[in-house]
Amino acid sequence: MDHLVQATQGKKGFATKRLILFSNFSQPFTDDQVDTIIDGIKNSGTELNVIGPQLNEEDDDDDTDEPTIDNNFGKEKSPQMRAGEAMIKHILSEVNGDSYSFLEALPALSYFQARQVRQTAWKVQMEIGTDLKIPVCGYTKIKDFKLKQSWKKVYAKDSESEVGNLRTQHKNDEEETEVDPEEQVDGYRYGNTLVPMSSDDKENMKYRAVKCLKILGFTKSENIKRHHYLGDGTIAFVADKGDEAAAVALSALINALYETDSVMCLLSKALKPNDPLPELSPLIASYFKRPEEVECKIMKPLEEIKDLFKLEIVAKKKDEKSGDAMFKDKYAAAVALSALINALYETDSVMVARRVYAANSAPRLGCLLPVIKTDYECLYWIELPFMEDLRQFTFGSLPVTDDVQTNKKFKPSADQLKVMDDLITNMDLSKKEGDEDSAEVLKPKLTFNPYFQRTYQCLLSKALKPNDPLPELSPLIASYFKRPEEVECKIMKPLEEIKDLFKLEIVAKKKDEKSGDAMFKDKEEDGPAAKKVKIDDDFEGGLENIGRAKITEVGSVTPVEDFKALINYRDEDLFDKACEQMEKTIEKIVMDSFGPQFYGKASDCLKAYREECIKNSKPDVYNKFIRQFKETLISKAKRDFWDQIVLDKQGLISKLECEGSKVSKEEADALLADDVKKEGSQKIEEADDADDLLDMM
Amino acid sequence: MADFGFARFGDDDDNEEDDEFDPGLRFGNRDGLIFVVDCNKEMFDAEDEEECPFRVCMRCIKTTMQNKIISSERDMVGVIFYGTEKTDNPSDFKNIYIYMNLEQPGAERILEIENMIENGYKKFGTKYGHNEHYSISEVLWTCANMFSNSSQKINYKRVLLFTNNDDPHSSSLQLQRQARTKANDLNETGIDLELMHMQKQGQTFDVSKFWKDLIYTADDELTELPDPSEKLEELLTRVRTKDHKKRAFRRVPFSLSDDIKFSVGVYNLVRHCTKPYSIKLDKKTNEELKSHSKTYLKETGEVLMPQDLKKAQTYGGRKICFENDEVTEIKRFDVSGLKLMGFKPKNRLKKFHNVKPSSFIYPDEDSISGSTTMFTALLTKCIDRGVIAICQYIPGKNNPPRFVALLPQKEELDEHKVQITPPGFHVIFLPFADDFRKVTFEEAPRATTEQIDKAKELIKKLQFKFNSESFENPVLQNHWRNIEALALDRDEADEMTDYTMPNEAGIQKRAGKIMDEFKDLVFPPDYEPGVKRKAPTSESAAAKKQKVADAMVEIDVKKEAQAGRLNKLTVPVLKELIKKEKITANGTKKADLIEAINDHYGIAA
Repeated sequence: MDHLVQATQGKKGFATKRLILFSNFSQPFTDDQVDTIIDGIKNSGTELNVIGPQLNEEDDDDDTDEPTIDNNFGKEKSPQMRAGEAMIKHILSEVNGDSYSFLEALPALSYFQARQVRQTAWKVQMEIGTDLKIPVCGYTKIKDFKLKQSWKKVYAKDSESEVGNLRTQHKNDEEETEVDPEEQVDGYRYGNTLVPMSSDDKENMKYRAVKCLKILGFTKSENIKRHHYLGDGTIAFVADKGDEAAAVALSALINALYETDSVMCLLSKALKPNDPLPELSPLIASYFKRPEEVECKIMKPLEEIKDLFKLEIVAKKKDEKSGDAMFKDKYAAAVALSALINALYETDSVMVARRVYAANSAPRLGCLLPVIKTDYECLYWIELPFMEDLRQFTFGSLPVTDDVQTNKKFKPSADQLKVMDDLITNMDLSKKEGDEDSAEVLKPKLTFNPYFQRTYQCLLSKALKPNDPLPELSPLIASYFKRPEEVECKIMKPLEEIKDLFKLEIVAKKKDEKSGDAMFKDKEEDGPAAKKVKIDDDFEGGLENIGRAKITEVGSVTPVEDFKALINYRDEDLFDKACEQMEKTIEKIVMDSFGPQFYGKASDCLKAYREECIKNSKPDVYNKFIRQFKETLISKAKRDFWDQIVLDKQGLISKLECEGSKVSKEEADALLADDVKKEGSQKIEEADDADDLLDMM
Repeated sequence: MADFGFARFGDDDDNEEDDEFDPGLRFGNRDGLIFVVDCNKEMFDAEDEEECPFRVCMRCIKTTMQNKIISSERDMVGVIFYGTEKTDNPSDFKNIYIYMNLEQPGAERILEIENMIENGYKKFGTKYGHNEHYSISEVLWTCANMFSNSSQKINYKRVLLFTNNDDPHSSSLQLQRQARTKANDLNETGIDLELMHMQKQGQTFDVSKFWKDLIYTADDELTELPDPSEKLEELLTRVRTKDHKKRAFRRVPFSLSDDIKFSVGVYNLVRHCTKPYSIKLDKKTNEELKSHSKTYLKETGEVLMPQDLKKAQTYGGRKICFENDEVTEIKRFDVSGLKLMGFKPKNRLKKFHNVKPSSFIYPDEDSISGSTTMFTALLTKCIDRGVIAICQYIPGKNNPPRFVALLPQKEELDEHKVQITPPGFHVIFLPFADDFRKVTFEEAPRATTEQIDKAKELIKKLQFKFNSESFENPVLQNHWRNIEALALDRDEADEMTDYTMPNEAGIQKRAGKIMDEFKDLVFPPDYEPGVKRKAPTSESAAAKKQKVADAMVEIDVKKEAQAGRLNKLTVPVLKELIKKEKITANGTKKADLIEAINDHYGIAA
């Protein structure tokens, strides 16, 4: 006992002091110091919990229906133990501690306790216009809780040696020259322009804001969409008490009341739902079977707190000289806020506000919702999106009502709707009227984050047995993911019916050429955020080409792309194969073309083909093809396409264009020219023919 | 973002799913846009030079580029002139000049176009010349080539053609035919051609003469081309906001039981839009730097590979170590997906249960057929019964589960039948017990009916229809304007309206009187908000100072010290005395001050 007092004496950082005594009371003890101990516990504001064999509860009516299990593992309690029990009971009743049997304590301890954060006020003046200012305090009501510690990297061979992390910047040259931090400057992209921004620039150009909570106006609550909520929490705003001294006194009082034994005497039992260390409460141990709503439970205690506070406040007021006037002064903000809250409530409105957390932090847009409870009134702040934060996507209508015409083929039948209705009826997780035993399942306030529980479980296991594999998921956590048994029974039938009535089939992934790309993307979406892959802008064959590499032949849908993909295929030289296919494709397109219908496409192919041949220094391949192709075209009455080639200047590749070519410029020109001469007169006629054909189509 | 009251602990725990991971951006999902501008002489004619069609075109191009840089910087833009004397294109088509190749736009291009708008257009005739012997077919061909020769994969290809000539090939049937054929090719290869027609002075632009056959609209019924002025207006509007492509964030199974599963797409309809990341540049060359990161052992400097590392948390001064894959395993509970736990009445979803921005689900028929029907049945019934579905949601296999409420959403249309809210379920993340904070509320007086009624009047006066669309984020807007100013070498950034600042004058005008009345009702007469009320006995700082000054006048320090009366003086007075007599004290406590004075005068205490 002395140890704890000494250890905590003078340190103000401790919010609560707690003494947990494990004992089976079998050791001899002296009682000469009992009173000192009791006084010590009382005076230091320490909470006492005793975990040991079940105490004899003959004088406690509350617990008579608890099963009397012999906690002493079948052994008769020794006289020594009985004496110890009597003693500890005396202490407990004096200091209003709690005792738990081993059996009670074990399951309760399976829940790891969340870090309790002391409530800290964010003080600001709520402004409406320039004149009306109400001092308020904001307290975090809900906030997405993070693991207390993050995972730190340590050296595997020796976890105690320090590990550092070094980030260096390098030039994009061959040596990857490192650049000193003094030689660096931050920059932003403006399209393909890199805009350097010195820290001075940054400072000068920064958007400046001062701490504030400015009301922009009022709006009907229906204008606030539930699904637009942003941020990771809710803040409750209450009036600041204009008088700081009084506020401090009051707050001190509350803390004092809360922590001193005398008050714990009245509150200890009732306060359990709000107990800072819930794992010791036997009530929470029976997670899903909690018989009473928390709200119901805290109503009474809070009512009691109210009574207590009132008494004290009156006493305090007597000390001060100015009685009523002071009171009005002190609560001016509260009255103003109360008037607003009630008015909002009655008009079904909310306030829209700009909130700046501290000087120069980014302003946030949000709303203040009125909350009126029997014992308090406050405003809940919830952040709302800016225009930039919203994404307007349009989705197809669903046949929810009869008048929706789109997607009508998906309309569920009457039977299907009926069975879904049955399912809803039988899967009610909320508390049923008059049925005290079935509390609401998965009530957020009573459901611990399984990930945290799992992490703590693993940490505990690893701390004790570092080399063991991770433990099994504790059954307590696993039970979160199971539906309550009675629900599971009730929905068996509807689920069977649903299976019969609805046809669900897994669609086999299409195995088309492009699937490479799609597959790759899907994988990326599911997996962890892969390392950022940067595709250099003028670099052919990035990741997208790996996706494309699935293409095995030049199709007629996107021949140019296919052809290029094949050529760029890195793992294998497919150039010859690609050319062969490209030639076939071009021929096919031209031959299949009705009139000049597909000539454009064929020309594009031809151009791409010719270009690639030049790029890859294989002019002969193209030249051989184009010579043959000319003959084919003329013999198959597709002369007009040859005209196109001539027009496009897609003839032989000459030496001028590509070094490897054996064809001279004159030769190349000749192949094109000799036809132009022949053509001349015929051209217009043919064009008209084509026109006629088109007209007939 | 500004955290409320509490600093974050260490670096962010990596169990959070990466909400903003956008594969679309990293895998070449870009759009291409080519502006084609008719450069015939009349494009440069106008009574008012500002209104000359060519300059309007260039202004459109400029704003579009500027908008693109912000909304989707990876998109590519090109500009082609036709009807010029000069020729510059890979196929050597006559009188077609590629002014700007299909590339990502940047500051350089914008400045170039700006220059063209300011001065360049005057010399257009001499620099580029005019020539009517072009072929629209070849113009379109050049566009198609530009798209196909692009080294980047382009998703959506669009050509915007500006002209004031409604019949460019009036004399040649052949050229007309070729243009039609080429337009058809474009359409088939997925290139959209849009006509931005501009009227010549005193003439109407007859679309049916030539252009109508070239434009392929998805909607067959559309016979009339819309009025171009509206389209121009749209092109000239500056929008500084990021463009998000509609894309399922993920596709997950939704299971009613182990063997009844349908599939949904998960979309994020609302998320914080953040400032773009900054990059590191070399001060001298302005070249982008590559970042390398390595982990090393502090003692020896040895560089560590991932396999040399473990992860640990410290408890009680002891490191508890885990293998990397064990850390992943802790997060792994089940396969990804939504699992139905049951239903609750809608009112069980509390207004303040807010831990994460919501998502949205819509059936995904492509993975499991029949999904839409089952989804629709569930949605219909949830709406009918006024219930929310409670599900266990595991977004990806390495994400820990969360419980979510599915809030049914009916489709909402505005008066023009445009969808405002899509049909489906909003996925509202529910808090865990760990997320609740204990807030103790103190007893406070309640307002009277009279006071409440006055507040209601105030609310009525200051009521408006809230919509997020009317509030731009001032930080982002400011950021973009600054970047733009720096990139384009402007003296100052474009002006910005901060919509998050209340219109104080307006509020005062509308409700000033009511606010005064309200204040009279709720505040005591001399109330000053925020001013700390001192206990009646304490005095103001000014009064204190005065008192000290008064005291000083009468005090002879030496005498007081000799008489041993220093103890009777107050600390402020003593301090003032020390200052006056230039005595150095070793502390600020009263005893220290007295000691110093006594020492000074050589008086033994």
